[in-house]
Amino acid sequence: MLTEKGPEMTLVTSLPTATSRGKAVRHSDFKTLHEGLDYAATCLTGLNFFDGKGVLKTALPYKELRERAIDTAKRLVKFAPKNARIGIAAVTSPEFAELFFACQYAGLVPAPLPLPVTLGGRGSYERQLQRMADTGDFHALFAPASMETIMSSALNDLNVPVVAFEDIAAMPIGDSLRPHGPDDLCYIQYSSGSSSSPKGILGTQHSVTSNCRGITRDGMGIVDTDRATSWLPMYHDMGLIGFMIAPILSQLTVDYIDPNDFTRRPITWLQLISDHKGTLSYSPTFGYELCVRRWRADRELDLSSWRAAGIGGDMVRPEPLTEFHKTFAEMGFDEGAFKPSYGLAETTLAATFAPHGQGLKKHTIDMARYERTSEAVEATDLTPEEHKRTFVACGTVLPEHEIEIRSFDGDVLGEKKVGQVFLRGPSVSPGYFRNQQATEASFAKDGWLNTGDLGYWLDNQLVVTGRFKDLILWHGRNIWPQDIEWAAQAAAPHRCGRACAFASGGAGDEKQIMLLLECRTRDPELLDEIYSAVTAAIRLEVGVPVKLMLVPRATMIVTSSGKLSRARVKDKFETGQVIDLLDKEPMKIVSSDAR
Amino acid sequence: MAQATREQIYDKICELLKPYNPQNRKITLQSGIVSDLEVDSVAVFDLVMELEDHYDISISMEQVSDIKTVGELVNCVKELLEG
Repeated sequence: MLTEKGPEMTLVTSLPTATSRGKAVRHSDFKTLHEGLDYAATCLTGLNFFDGKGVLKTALPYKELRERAIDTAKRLVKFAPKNARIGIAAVTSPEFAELFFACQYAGLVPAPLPLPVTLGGRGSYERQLQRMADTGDFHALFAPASMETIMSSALNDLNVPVVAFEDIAAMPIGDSLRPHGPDDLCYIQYSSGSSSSPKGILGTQHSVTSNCRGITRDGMGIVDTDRATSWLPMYHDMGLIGFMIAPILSQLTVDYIDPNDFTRRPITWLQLISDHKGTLSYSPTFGYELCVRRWRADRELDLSSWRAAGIGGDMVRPEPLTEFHKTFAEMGFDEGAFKPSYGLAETTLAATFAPHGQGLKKHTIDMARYERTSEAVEATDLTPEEHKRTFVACGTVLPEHEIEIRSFDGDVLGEKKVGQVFLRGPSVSPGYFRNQQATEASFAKDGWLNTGDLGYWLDNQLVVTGRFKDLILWHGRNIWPQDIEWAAQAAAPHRCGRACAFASGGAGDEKQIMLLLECRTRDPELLDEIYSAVTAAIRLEVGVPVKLMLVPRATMIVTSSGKLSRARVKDKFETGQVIDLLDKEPMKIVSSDAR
Repeated sequence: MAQATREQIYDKICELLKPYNPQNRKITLQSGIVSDLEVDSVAVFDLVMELEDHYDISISMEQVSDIKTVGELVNCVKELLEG
C-alpha cells in the first residue's frame, strides 16, 4: 500500500473515520508515545482533516498514520543522530502528524514551530523563527514546499537545512527503527515565553503519557462514544497535546479544521461538531466570542452531542461564554457542557478540570478588599458595582498531582486566600531546553513548579486570577492590569484596539501606572474625546492615577499564542519606541493658510 | 470570473474595504491595508474570506503574510485567478 512516490501514497478515503474504536478504550496507560500509536493503529479511529467549509480533505486512520510514520522514521534514522532536534512547521495536516510520530519511532526530538498568522506579518515571523533556531540547535526543519522560501530566508545565517514535506519520500530509506525508550525525551514545545525570547519546554515520554492519562481518564473521562473536534493550532500545547497526542493515546477520532480557516469561518467549527456528533472540543474564551460575532443564523445546527466545551489557554471570561450559551442554547448547546480548566505547557498541558456538568461556577468578589488584604471575599449588595469582579472556578487538580497556593513568604494558604500557584506531579516538565537560568527560576529541585499564576481555593477548586509577574503593586494595593485594560476598552467612545497597563519607573511610590490604548483614528478631536472618557472611567473604576497614552494600532506585542506580552510592551515604551498620538509636535510646519 | 481585470479586482477590494474606511480616505494601490486603513486582525480575515468567496479562490497564509498594500492584494488575487 505504501509506495516511495510521495503524495500518491495518501489513500483516497471518502469517509471520515468512525467514532467507535471496535476495541476497548485505553487511557494513555502506555510508557511511550509510539506504544500508544501501536495500539491506536489496531482501532477503527483516526484523524480527519476538513477544509474551511467543512468538507473532508483527508481521513487518516491511525493504522495508516502508523504505517506512514514508520516509513518516514526509517528515513529519519539515516538522516539524523539519536535525540537530534527536528523543527516541524506545525501545519494542521497529515504530514505534521506523520513527521511528529516518525520522530518518536526514530528517536528524534520534534519541535513544532509556529506559522505566519497575520497580513504582512512575514518579517516579524521570520525574526521569531530565527530566535527559536538560535537556541533550538535544530538538525533540520521540515515544512510544506509553500513555506520553504520563508523558512530558508528566516534561517539565512544558520546552517540548518530546510526539507519540504513533499521531498521526504525521496530521502534514502534504511531498514531499522530507533524508537524512544520510556526515559527519553518526547518533544520541545515553544508555547511559553514571549515571541522575542521563546523558551523550549522539554517534554519526556513519562511527563507526556502521564498528563495524557490525567486528561483522558480523569479530566475528560473519555468513553467509546466520544469524538473530538479542534481548530487549535498544533504549535500550541492545547492543540498539540490536547487534540493530537492525547486523542492518539486514547484512540479518539478527531475532526480538524485549520486555525486560519477557523479565523475566517468560525462557524465551521460548530458545523463539524453538528455534522459528526462531536462530544469534546476546546477553545480559549475568544473562540466562543468569535462564533457569536460571526453567527448569521443562516443554518441549522445541532450541538446537543457536545458534552464537554472546554475553556483553557487564557483567563476564563464569563460574559462572552454566557453570550455564547444564549446564542446557541436553542440549537441544543447545554450550559453545563462548559468545562473550564487550567494548565500550562510547563506541566505538559493540563492541571485542573471542572467536574462534568458543572459549567461556569462563578464567584463574584470584592476587588477593593482583594487588593488590600489578598482575600477573595464575596461581593454583597453593598459592594459598589465597580469593585465587583467575577471569576470562574477551574476545577480540581488531577490525581497524582498536587497544587499549593502560597503567600509571597512561602506559607501555604487556605480557602479564599490569594497567592502564587505551585504545582507538583508526574506531568511537570524537566525544564527549558538549554536555558538553565529560566529553568531554575520556575522549576524547584524538590519538584514544585512555580506556575507564575495567582489564584485561590474555592470549595477545593482552583480559581485563577491572573499572571503574577504582571501584577502592579501600588501603595500596598494589588492592581490587576487586566482590570485597567478592560475598563478602558469598555469606556472608549469609539472602537479601540488592544490596551496594555503596567507600572513604570522605579520602585514604590514614584512608580507611574501607564495605560497604552490602541486607537484606530488619528483625528485629534476624536482622540481628545477618547482620552477624556477613558481617563474618567479609569479614575472611577480603578481609583488609582493612571497615565493614559493613546497609541497607533499594532503597538502591542503578543505572543505566538495570542496573549498580550505586557513585559515586552513596557520595554518598548521605556526605550522610547512607542508613538504618542496626542503628542503635539513642537516643530509643526506652518501651513500656508496661517500665513 | 477568471477574466476579472486588475481594475475590477481593485474596485472589489475598495468596496469590501469601505466599512473600514469611515473617513473616506482615498484608497490607492499603495495604501497599507493595516497601516493606513482601520482594519484590525479580525477584519483582515473577513476581507480575505469575502475575496475568496467572491472569486472562488483560496489565499494561503504564506501569501497573506507577504501582503501589506492594496496593490499587493490585487496582484495576489489576479495571480490566483490566472492560476
